[in-house]
Amino acid sequence: MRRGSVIGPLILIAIGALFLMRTLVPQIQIWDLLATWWPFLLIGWGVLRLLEVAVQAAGGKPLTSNGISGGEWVLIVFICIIGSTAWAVHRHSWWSGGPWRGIVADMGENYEYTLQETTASAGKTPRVVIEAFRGNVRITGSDDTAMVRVDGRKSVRSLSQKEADDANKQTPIEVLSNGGQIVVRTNQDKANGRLRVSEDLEIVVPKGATIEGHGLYGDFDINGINGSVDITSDNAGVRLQNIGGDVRVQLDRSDIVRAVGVKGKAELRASRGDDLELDDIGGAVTATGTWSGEVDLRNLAQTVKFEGQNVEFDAVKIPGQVRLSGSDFTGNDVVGPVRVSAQARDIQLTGFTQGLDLDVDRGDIELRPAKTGVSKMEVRVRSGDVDLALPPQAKFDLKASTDRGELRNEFGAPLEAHETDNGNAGSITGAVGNGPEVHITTDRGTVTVRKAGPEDEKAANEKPEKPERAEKPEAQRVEN
Amino acid sequence: MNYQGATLMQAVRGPILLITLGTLLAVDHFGPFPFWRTWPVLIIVFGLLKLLERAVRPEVTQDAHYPGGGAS
Repeated sequence: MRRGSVIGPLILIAIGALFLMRTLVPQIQIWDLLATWWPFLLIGWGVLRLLEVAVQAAGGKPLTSNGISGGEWVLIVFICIIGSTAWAVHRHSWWSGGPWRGIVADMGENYEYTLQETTASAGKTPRVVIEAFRGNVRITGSDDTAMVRVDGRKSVRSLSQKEADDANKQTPIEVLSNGGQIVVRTNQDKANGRLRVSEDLEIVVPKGATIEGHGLYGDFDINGINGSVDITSDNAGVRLQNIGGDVRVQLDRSDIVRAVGVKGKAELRASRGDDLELDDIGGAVTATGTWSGEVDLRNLAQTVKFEGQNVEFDAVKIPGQVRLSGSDFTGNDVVGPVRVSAQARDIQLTGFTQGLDLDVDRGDIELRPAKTGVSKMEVRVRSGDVDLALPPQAKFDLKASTDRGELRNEFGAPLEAHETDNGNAGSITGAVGNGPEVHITTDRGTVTVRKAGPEDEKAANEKPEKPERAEKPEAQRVEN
Repeated sequence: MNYQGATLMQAVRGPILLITLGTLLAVDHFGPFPFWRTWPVLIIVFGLLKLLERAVRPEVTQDAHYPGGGAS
């Protein structure tokens, strides 16, 4: 008789309908609804069973001995356990920060609010501290103000307008003046942890300001500040322009860090960085962490230390450009001593001076020292071809060898190729004048030594085109 | 009829308990009483249903006169 119950098929239909709703009408918050209303599922179930029994009794049919079978009770107990857990989570929002947070926060709608303009008088050279918040900020230095002025928009992702309005009231933006220090506080942590509050801030500061920005998730855009800039964030794109002081950026994730026109030092660190673009930096540059995207360094007036994914690189300055893109490393007009250490990179260096120390596991190497003269070079390659184009009038003392590979002496006399192992190994040696030592070794690969021709000079003098960089849409960052 | 009534009560017991459970949980969510304070209601309802079952089964006591009949 139990077999005739409508409950089983109904449960199947309900589960199917729920999943269908989730796929067809994703804005409906199935899991929230379930976590809230599941007790009525039990009531409905009981009522249906009761009706069944009534129908059976009225029809004079034999009754099932017990209205709800043991198996059903087991299922009910499971539903209770899962339901009350979901409810507790739903009510206490344990999951703020947990893996569920994104799922919960993604449900609901965005409610937008305009921030009331908030100001604080600051003096000419204030220190402006932006406390950790979620969202984007654009900071602009202004000559004719002694105020810090904040406005912008706030968005609250919430299931209901009322909840969003409450959250908006709980998170007023504050600009607090404390001696020479101005604190910008969004109070986002005051809102229910389940809601996602984020802000797009526009801040105007006196030109002499120093900025200390903390972020959780969102972009920093800073322009025209004479003081220094210090940014820490879990996930940020950072774009800096015309900064008078030092720049320090510490990020966990980042899609881009760009600094153009910095008078002081630049210290950049991203644990999981992507693109890095530095142009016209007056002080020493240190970039560490992982920069797995496009790296573009140009006009760096002082020492450069770069550590990327399987690449390390030092130079005394870069009047020209160094680019890392994919597996390519290209440098032009670099003042050394230059040190490059890489695992798998094809390296092309032109117009470098003051010495080179190059160590590569796998990759083809193309070297064209500056026309003004060859400097001391120490090049080691595990596997890859080496092509060395020397200026015709340069002085040097060369020893280039391969353990397995061809030798091509296109420079001619006074260099000589000494082939061993039936032409499968050997070295090219010789000296022109009393010049610096040039040592090249490859374990496996062809070594070519030639005179730099007009096409090499042309390539060395021609600065590589600035790459066309498609801006990534900021709004479409992925929550992690 | 009486035998039928007794089995009806038995059949109805599960669904009624389930409805009670659901109601208590709903009250826990939306009402003033948390479930940890209302759960004894389930025992009371269970007891009441048992009582009703007895009430609609008077001949069980008659059955007890027969040898081998249930003494309940």
